Amino acid sequence: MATFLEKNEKNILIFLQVILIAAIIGLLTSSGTKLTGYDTLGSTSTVSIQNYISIARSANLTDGINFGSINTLPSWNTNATANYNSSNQSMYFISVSTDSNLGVDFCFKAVTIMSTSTGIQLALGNYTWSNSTLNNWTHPVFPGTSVLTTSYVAGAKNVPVGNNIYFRFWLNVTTGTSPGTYNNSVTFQGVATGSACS
Amino acid sequence: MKTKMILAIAFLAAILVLPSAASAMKGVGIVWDTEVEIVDSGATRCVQYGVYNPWSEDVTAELTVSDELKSVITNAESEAKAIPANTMHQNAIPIEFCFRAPKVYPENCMLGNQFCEQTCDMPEVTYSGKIIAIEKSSGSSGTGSATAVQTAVPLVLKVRCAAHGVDWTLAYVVIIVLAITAMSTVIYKRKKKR
Repeated sequence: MATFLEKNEKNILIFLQVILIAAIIGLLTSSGTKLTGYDTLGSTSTVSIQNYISIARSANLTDGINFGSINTLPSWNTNATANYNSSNQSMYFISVSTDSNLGVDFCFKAVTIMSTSTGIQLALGNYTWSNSTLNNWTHPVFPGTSVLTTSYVAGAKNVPVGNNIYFRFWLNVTTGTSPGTYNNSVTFQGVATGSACS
Repeated sequence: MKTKMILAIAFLAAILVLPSAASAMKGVGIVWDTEVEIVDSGATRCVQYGVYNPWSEDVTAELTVSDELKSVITNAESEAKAIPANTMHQNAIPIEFCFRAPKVYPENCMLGNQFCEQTCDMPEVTYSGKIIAIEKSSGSSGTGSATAVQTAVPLVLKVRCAAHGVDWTLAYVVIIVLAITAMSTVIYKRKKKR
């Protein structure tokens, strides 16, 4: 073997040089990833369509949906504190800005179940709500027409630009419910009219 | 006289302040000009939306996606930006949302995950969901629920397959290293012999 290598030393070097040059050429010409693309020829027409929606919550809704202190159990359909003002109107509302160019559909969900800081839970089935584009003694209607859930539920649809949607919320607290302060978070989502909740 | 003056000023101030407090609105808006994004399989992509606030209170906003898209994308990232009150849609503040698209088209590889080719013989994969402008809520105290509002717009993510042949770069590098090593050995032995 050693004799063969010694005898063919020159040829081996030439062979290795050829291999090396071929590999270097291969490396330089290799484009690696070959992407396919799309090419369009011809004149184009361009139009840019822009949509925009904005919603905001009322000051009372920004402060949160509060049910105050409940001292007598059971307590059925406990009103949230701003369900009725002195004119029997709800102070919970969301506005669709006049700086929008589409109507808005609304969706709601609880981010979490109501619970105390120690983890005691109050089932969301006890938490009901109504919404309406009217705001008077009878609307949004009592009792709540929907139960709050942790999945999005559709509310009012196609609320026009510049209009409001009003809410009322109620809470049932059954006998035997552990004392404590129960909290959670509720999200109000506005989507362009016709879009699904998610 | 002085006391009456102070009382009158206090009364006027109360009249001016109370209605504005009662009508203080907090919210967020989103501007969009596309509902479809095309992204290469496994690639990182940033999309940009205008976020505005035509309302009376400053807010901090950021972008996120709905659960359908959250379950397929990775490395989702968005910066929270302050959106001053009375920012109309013409002056919307751009916010980026970056993510990595899923690798949905399997590659044919010769050795482990090396020397792979992509033939793109699968139909195009799309995912539907929403991009959401969130007003970052400071929350509220007391018994009940903290609230937050968000505006959401549809987003269809089309994951494009990028066809490519086998990448031989690694093979060429290995051959070059071996050839240089072998040549050096032969030359070294030749010099040593002389």
